[in-house]
Amino acid sequence: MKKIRAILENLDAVISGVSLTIVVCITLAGVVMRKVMGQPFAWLEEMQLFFFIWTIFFGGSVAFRTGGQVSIDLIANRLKPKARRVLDMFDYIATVLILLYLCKGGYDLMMSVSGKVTPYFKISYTFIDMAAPIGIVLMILQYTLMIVKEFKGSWKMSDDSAKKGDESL
Amino acid sequence: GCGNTDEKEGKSSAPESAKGEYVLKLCTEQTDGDPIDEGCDKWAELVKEATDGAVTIEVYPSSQLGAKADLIEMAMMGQNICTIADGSYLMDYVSDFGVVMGPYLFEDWDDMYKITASDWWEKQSEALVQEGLQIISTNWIYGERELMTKKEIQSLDDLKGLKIRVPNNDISIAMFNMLGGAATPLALNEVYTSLSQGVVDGVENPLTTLYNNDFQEVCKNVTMTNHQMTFSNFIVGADYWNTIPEEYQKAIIECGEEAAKYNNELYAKQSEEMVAALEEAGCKVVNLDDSIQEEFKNACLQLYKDYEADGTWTKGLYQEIQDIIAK
Amino acid sequence: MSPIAAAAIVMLLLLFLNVPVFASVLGGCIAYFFANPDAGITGVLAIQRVISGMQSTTMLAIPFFVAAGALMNYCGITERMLNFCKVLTGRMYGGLGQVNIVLSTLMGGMSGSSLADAAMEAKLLVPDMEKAGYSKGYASAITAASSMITPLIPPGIAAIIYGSITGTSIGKLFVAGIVPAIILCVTMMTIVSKYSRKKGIPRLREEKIESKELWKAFKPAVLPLLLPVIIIGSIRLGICTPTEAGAVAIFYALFLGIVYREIRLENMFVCVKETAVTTASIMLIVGAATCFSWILTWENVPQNMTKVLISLCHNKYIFLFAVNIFLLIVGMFIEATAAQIVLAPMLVPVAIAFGIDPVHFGMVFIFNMAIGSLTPPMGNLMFVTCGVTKCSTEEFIKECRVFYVMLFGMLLLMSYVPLLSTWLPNLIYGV
Ligand code: NA
Ligand code: NA
Repeated sequence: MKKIRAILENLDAVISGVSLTIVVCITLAGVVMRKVMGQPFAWLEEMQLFFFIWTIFFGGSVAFRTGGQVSIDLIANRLKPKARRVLDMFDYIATVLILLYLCKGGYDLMMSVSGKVTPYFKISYTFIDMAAPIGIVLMILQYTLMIVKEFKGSWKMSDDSAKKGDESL
Repeated sequence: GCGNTDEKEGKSSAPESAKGEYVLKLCTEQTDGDPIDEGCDKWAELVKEATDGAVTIEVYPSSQLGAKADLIEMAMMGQNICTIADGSYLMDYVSDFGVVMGPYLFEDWDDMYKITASDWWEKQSEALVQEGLQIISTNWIYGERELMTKKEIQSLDDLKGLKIRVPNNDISIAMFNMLGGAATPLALNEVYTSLSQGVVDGVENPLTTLYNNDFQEVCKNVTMTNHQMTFSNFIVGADYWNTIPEEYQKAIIECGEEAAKYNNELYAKQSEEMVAALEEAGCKVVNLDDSIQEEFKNACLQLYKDYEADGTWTKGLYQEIQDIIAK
Repeated sequence: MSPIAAAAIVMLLLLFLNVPVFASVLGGCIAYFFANPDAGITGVLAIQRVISGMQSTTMLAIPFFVAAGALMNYCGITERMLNFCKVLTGRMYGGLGQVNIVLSTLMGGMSGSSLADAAMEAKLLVPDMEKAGYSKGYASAITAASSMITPLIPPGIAAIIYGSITGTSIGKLFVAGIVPAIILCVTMMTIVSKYSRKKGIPRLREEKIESKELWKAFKPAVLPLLLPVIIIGSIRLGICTPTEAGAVAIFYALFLGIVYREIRLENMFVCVKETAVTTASIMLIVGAATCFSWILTWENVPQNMTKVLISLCHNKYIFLFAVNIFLLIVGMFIEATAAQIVLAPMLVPVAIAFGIDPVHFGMVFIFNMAIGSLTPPMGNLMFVTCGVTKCSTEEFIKECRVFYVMLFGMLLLMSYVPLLSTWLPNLIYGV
């Protein structure tokens, strides 16, 4: 269990971080190629968008773990711990249902676009859109681990600071 | 000037206009006021009349409901969406359709009418239905594509090595490389700055598009290459189409033909004025000699051979099309 | 109930119940699909719209500027700017309060996000401000309110989103914020100075600042201060797009880190991760809001709303006033990014029809939505600041009142004096 979690925790952050780094580097290389060499990369845009999507969906999973998802806790913060638990459980179920619905959609989309390819490298859109269902599954897993932790009471920090708990890569 | 069917009471422009039993959402990339957009409005009006309001066509210009590829996906999922698509898009589903986007395929627009009326077109359309897409209107002229460059072009030699912006599709890229240029695919909205900064040396499109994007401010030479004569089709998802009763289907198709004619008239009128407008903006418009035009054409014909050789298109496709046109 | 109403109600309900914003908005979309089964719209379409909202090279500027902003903290840039601000405002009443405001303005040239700015300063400055005699509430209020200046100085994430969805020049939007930002900065400094005199908060120093000392503090801040000039200049000269300017900003920050010898590999990892998380949370909201906005278009809501607005408002002054009130109310309840994506495509065409410059309207829109992040019930800026300083929201709101009045006044000024937002862009870009 611990090992699996450790792998999961690093997997999303690593994929998202590497994708982001690639986007930054190819964008800057693109400026140099265009301005200095006068030879723009024909593949720049498709690669930027490819890695951007992967950054977002895997970063979304990290955001669930680190409390980086924006939410409105105005009412939640005023609740007594018990009521707060009930609300947290409700939020968890509602979010997971929404994510499952999307995940199914993402899977169907991924399967339906296998014939569509990017203009330059002819990469199937399956590989681009794949980030969505996989990222969403990871989001659900991360959220579940968080809720399990909270309900086990093993979370030492208060609910509030848990939201902003810092983790290292 | 045919819009006075329902405008008797002053309230007719109220937001809640009654919707028909069947609603078809007609999506284009053109902006409000473009001939194709006007043609779509015409189509909506005609269909409303012809079906007594049972079928409503809602027009969405400027890609409001999404990019073309996304719209085609939606249509295939069963949405009541109709989107504009030319051969290079249909090619993703039935590859032989791409040939109508090929260079120097037609001499004039009559050839387009011959092709879309042919058995060959019928056969391709049926294959497209098998893929889940139905063409409900064709023959919408998009335009003769011409070349606009910074330096004057009188021959193939002048074009050698020039970076020409082309749309991001295989045919356009291959064609301009064959002409000796360096085809550079870019989004249309980046072309103006790219031209002014020297990222590209030229751009190709129908004159109206070139003019409406103000490229004449940065490029002063227009060469009437006529390298492609492109037209658009409107496609819907076959599943959705089959839910519409046959009489309404017929009405939509017939009104679509009318609307296409309307678009073509508007286009012809606009493009006539375009040469003068470009000259007034300080452009030099070059008409190529027949012999040079022939050289351009011959340089491009390799494309058909390559595509047939690598199996993208059926063997003998180019000849088949030429036979249809020759009839 | 109409499917659209169902969607809106479900979305608001989920938002208030602390469901993540992107999931709430998508929940609203899904409610629409279920309430409108005839349309046959499915999850495939939802995710397709979400992804299409994210597939924009312009939006790529967001992670770039977020990363550049985060790097500032790890490359010793924030520290040097802080020292410079301390010297600069040393003899003003209010001490660290003034530093707080000036730092937000100067750091605005690197950070595109008010949240990041507020979080950093709440951590860095508020404890010392309390020691100097500020109440926790007032110190938090200054921190949050002055952070609203940050996104007005180029780069600003809101300007990127607005420009990208409405097709307005991002370069011009960047420049348009500078004059309002300076006015805000000066006004806030005046307010803080008055408050400090009343409360007897001392100046940081009594002795005069020698020009030599000022120069010594200024020198290390010169290179960071150049960044906004580089961004604006390279966009204006056509060397790069706003997106590419973001990538340039990252490498500039890294370059500074090397010059200052403060770059550490482990910090880089943290920075990449922070950026990925911030980007993901913003872009998931962007994607969800794109889907919601698509549903509205599908239902012809923008088209109908445009007609209604044009028939109700007889001139642009009434229109601007009505829009401001409407946006202030919306901004109080809905997260700014989501509201912007849904509403801007509806309102901008109307504004243009009334003859309002889209850059001017953009600044009013962006600033208006930013005010909502400072007010209850749903104010991100308020929550982030109070979260770090452990200030109660009641106290925060009480101390923020003077700033609310000032911001509202500034909003009216920006609405009715277009020159504030159009003069500089027209000067730099030509009319
Ligand atoms: Na900024
Ligand atoms: Na501040």
